[in-house]
Amino acid sequence: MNPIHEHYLSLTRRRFFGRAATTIGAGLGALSLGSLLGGSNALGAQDTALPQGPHFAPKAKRVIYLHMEGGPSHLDLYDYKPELRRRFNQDLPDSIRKGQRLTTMTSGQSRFPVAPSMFRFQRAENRTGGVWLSEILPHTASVANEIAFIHSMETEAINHEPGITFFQTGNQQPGRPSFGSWMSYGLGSANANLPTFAVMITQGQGNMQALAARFWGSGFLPSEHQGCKLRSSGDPVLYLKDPPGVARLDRRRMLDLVGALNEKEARESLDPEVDARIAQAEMAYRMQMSVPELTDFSDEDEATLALYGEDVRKPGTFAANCLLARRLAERGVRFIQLYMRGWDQHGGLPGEIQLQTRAVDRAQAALIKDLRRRGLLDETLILWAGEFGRTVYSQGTLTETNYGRDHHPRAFTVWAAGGGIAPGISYGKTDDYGYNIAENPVTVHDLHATLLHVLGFDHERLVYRHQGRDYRLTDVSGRVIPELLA
Amino acid sequence: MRLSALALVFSLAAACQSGETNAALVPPRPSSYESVIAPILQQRCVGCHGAERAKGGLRLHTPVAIRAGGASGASLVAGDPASSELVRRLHLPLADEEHMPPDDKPQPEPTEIAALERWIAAGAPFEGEVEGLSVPARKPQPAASIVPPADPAALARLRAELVHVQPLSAASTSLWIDFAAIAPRAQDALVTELLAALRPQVAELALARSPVGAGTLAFCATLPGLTRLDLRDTKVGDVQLARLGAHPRVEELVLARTAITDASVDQLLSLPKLRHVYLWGCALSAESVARLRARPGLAVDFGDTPDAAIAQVEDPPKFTSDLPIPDLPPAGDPNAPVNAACPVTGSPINPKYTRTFEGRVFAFCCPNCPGEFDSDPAKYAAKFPGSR
Repeated sequence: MNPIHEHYLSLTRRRFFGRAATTIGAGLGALSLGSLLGGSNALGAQDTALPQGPHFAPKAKRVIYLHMEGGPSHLDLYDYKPELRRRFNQDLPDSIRKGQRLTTMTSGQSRFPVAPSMFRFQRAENRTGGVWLSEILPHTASVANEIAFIHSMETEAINHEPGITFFQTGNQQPGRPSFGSWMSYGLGSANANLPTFAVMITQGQGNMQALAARFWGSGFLPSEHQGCKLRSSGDPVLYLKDPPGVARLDRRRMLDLVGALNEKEARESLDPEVDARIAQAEMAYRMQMSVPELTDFSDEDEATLALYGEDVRKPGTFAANCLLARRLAERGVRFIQLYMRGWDQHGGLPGEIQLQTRAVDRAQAALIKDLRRRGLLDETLILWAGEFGRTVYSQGTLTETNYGRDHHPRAFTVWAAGGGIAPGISYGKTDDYGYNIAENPVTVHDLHATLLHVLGFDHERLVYRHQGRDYRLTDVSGRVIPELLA
Repeated sequence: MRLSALALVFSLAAACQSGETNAALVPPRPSSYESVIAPILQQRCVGCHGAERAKGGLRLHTPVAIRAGGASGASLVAGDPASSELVRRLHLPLADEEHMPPDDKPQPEPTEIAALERWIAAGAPFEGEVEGLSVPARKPQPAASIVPPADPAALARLRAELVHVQPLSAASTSLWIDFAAIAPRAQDALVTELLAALRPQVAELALARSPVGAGTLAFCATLPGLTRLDLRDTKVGDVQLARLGAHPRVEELVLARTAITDASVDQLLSLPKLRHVYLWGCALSAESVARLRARPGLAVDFGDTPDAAIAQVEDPPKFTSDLPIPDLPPAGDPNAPVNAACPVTGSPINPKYTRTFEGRVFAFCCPNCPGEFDSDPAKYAAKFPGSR
């Protein structure tokens, strides 16, 4: 088509749909319009058309996603296999391994000796007969009544990069929007002074893999939907402060002028990235006021700080980020993504995993308790997941108190809690070796579909048209797991 | 070109409406496919089996499509409901994979299924009337569906003030309104002014961390559809809460860290629909909390939820194996211990018991020492500086 004609066509469509989309609950579904339009037609944040909004009444209004980067060992944390103790150092039977692929880190090993967890497990009461958890998660055990453990998670990826990409975007190859971006696109902001999708990173104790910024990228969605990383030291968001000698009023005038120029450009080029640019400049201006208050813990009482543990006073720790997550949640931020690095224990697992659990256990339990008593847990969805689990056989030398574990995508444990999730249950089972799924497999797409359902979305209808096809977070599959719903 | 493009857009929009338009022009006969069966299929099936999607190859949005059937063959056998695939699937147990509609979708009323069966039994005619066929009685619609659409100007005003407003769902005209972004300046006057034109629509109202008081509570008492009210971290006390009165619809009330005291217990108990109240951080006596908890169907979160009990702890694991433990790697190998004496006791090491810390392997004298090492690995590792 002639590009000039296309330009006029787009302009006309934009006007037509832009008007229609601003009436709430109108007969013409804002949803299909949003999809047709390809997202926001923002000309400044205040004029942004309403987001799609949920398809049906949501159980949860926001998400706190605790991603455990590296792949935590389900066998040492959540998947209780006491019978394995009698198989210590025996070779993993071929009937279990079934010749499946391994990473090149262990595929050359001459033996695959079974390494039972060296940790004691304890059974915490929940609403369905109790759940066995490792002794190194005592605080998590104290909130077992709130958690739905999924013991039968599986993924297709065997390495970190594709594994994290798969969990974040529903696809192993880079380029798709992150879960948080989909939520920003679908739900919009509930606080125009803060980013809709916030990201925080905690450095782990052991072997750490790279965290690429595209894990919280918006892919082909307009770029105002990308995650905003809050830094742990110095200014939480860079370049928010006015430069020395610039008054806030001057800043306002400057932004107004740049905004007017950008709007002219947006009208002429119709490039949605210019709209995104305008929206982000306005957001940054408002964040100048809201972010310092957000990250200042001085209004937290001592008892609350104690609940999260001593680490909470050190910016960037998992505890501090969990408290910050609660503060973001209560201020209406839709998607809060925490990354905890350092779960990649190929060797020396028993020592290293304890350093990791010491960093997360108290804080994640505190987060649940703190949200609960503030009336926020019922409308906040919490997900705890790594990109895969770890092998039952030892990588490297196995001794009675030391072993390593390689990546294991075929079966592992994740958990969810909060709004719309069945509290105090376990779902799915692995085989005697914690190697294959024995019951009720849950794919990454199934997990995404279920979480979207809790957030009020039919995962097959939350779509964005790009390069001629409708894309979904769940790609072309995914099934809502009814047993996980409250 | 520009004009034809515009025409295309409008004709698309018109097409969306055309079904209703035709129906309005020619009133259908009361006991026909068009007036009874098509609406049921439209509401229950066409979302997945219609013009836009055809799961299982099946479409049910037009007579032609219904006759064509799907991947499982004919969807119905005229005159024989019992042999009709459509009817069979409707009657399968909900948990069955083949049950339709899927278990996470709204299910048809028994009266609707009966109407479909009667129509098929009568030969599934697309024209004319079927004896005894009538529009099935439906359960009364929830009150939310009769809430009028919100005034666009009032919505625009809220958004201009950076107040979050969103319909509860795509199909709902009721609103969730959240003042989080401007909480510090959300005074009574501003809140009531902004919401005055939206009284019928406000269903969930969040005013946490705001300076609201009696004026807002009195206003909330006049909101007919209010079901959830969040007043966490406000100065609201007994006097202010009393202004809410015996609100007939409020189900969830968040009063955590407010000035509510024992004096509000009767007020809370006067709310007929109340099912969850959050009172953590309020100066309530144990007796008051107990009085609230005595009401059936009311959950009271006072921040005193007990930790989950530990029901059972397993014995310290004993590892047994018939196979010998392989020899540890020789010195120089990255997996070889860096120490000859136990870091904890100083006794000679047994290579069966090791830990790895910061890439270095440490061996111990007995199975107990690794646990002690874990309590402060940096301290013990420092006893062997630089040895690699």
